[in-house]
Amino acid sequence: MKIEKTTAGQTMTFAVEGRLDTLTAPQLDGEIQGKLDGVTELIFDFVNLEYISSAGLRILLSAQKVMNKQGRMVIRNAKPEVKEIFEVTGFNDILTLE
Amino acid sequence: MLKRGILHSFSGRRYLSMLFVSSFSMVAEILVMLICKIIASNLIGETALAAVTMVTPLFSFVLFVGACIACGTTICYTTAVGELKPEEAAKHFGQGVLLALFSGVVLFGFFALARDAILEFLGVPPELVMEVLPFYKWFLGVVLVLPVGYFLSELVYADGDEVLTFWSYGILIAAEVALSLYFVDSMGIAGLGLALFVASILFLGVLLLHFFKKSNSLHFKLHVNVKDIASVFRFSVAKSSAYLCFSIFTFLLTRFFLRSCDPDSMPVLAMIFEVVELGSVFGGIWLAAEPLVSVYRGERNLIGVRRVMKYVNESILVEGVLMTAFLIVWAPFLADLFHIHSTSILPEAIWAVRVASIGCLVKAFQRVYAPFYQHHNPLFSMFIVLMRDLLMPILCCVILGSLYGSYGIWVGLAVAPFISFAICVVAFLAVYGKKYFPLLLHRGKDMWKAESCEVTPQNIVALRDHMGDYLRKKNVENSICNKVMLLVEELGMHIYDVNRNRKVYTEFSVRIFQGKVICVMKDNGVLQNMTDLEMVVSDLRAYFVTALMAYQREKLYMLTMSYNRHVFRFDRESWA
Repeated sequence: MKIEKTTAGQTMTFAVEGRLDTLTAPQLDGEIQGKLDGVTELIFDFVNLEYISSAGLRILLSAQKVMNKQGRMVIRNAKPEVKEIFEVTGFNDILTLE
Repeated sequence: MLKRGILHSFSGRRYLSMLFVSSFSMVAEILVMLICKIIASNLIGETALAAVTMVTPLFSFVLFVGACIACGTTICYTTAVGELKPEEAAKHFGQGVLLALFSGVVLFGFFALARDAILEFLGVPPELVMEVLPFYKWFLGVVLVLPVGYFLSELVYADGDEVLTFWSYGILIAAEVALSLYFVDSMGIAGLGLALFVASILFLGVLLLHFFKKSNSLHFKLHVNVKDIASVFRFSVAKSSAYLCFSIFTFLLTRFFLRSCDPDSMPVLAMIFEVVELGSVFGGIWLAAEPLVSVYRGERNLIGVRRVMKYVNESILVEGVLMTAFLIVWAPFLADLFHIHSTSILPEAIWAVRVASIGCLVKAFQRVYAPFYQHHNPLFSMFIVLMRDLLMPILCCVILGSLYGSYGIWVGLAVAPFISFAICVVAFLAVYGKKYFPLLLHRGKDMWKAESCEVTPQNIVALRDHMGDYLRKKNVENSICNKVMLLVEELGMHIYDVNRNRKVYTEFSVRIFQGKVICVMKDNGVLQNMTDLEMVVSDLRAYFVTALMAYQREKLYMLTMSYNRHVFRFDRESWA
């Protein structure tokens, strides 16, 4: 999995490429945990994300909880297979998808 | 990278755990009469030994009847389980129970009413009849109980409760020894019979405990059907005819020996019969493999069958060599066990055991492959048994015995397995050709892909990727590939989560069939039905699994041989 992080002012963007699963989720978690201070907009660009499992959803859920207190979190460009996972698990009601 | 091999695969580990118990149970079957003979010869006398030996063919006959019902029912039952037909499996079990009970009663009645005729037919000399009768009286009780006990031992074992099966045989042997030693003092040979009867009751009692366990999937459904009974007997032909053939072989060879050889060497013959019977230990290898193979056959999973048979071949080689070495080294001890101390026959006894051990390995292959073939061709299976247990041994023994006396008989027993093996191989090649040797499986029709691993996060992800790559190579739609991969990872990791303190193995198989993908996931962890929407949700992953299952339309869970088996079918509209 490749993670490209860009910061512009109070907006932080993570472009995630590959698979967000049991083994790779800790890598993304390491990039996010304790690093959201002062961030008011957190964007996940999933245009190149092929696959997400519950381990990945856990990371998104934790991030969403933090951002609910200090701003907003958005998931962009998720592929149909990834969107289907959000729908099946009901996460499409918790996350903001664009 | 997923490790392969018997110690790293689900089916390999399952097979190994069953192999120990199955081998033990085969040894226990032989030990039952052997213990009687040893105690008779050591504590009562040679006439008692002769009396017990006379009843041995009857014991083999009862085992033959028990095997007719038990072996075939086990195959029918496990095949129905493999095909995901629990109702049909319950019917086979119910029918088997009724047949076993019925046969016990019929045999009891027959042996009781026709006692004198039977003893005359067996050639029991008049001076031995009074010695046989007290033992025979209690032996009738064994005849009543044994068919049901044998049946239940096979089914409980096939249901994955090898621990209880082990204990049931352990208690049978231990109780027989302890009670024999206790009763023989006051009751003589009758005490031996009583000990065997009480031990049989205890054996049955232990097996009944399986029905109170959570892992029990044996359910009784009242059912008797001529077609199903015919299937049962068809699948029993190899093992059951082995008992019958051995029974006839011992009867004929005893008669020939009494006419043509020195009667002082009779104890050597009695001992050699036990050595020949030791060969049935190799049947334990097939006993361990059969439930696994039958389930794979029910699933039409030829890769699974092939994999298990590879483990079987390795086991045959190891056990064959070990048995040969054991008999060669311990021949003097065996002679001592049979109270053979006379200087005139002791060297012959030791020599006979060593010579008879030579054919162990080839006999082992025949022991295993005869029942394997009965699924495809019961007649060919019976042919192997006839060659192995009756025709070749009796021909070789009689021909060489006529020329060289008792030493010729022992050599006959050594060469017979090789001749029968060669004949069987030639017959197979003549009927089926080289292409299908030896497993009779169509190479080109493998539609399954199966992989197995220890359940760890790294292995589960590797398994997931392996399956995903395979499905993509087979041009399966990307959305289906993703769903299957998700299934592997989420179910695999859920299994990991609920089994933190133990080593668990899983096997994941996929089959692409008429545009659909069928997945079977097996694991030997804590029993749990992951398709159950009422499953306790204790974390996000469990919630995720429940959510997946709510959307997955075609899913099934079946407790199989005390392991979890989940089946899913995917197509474009899998998720509602």
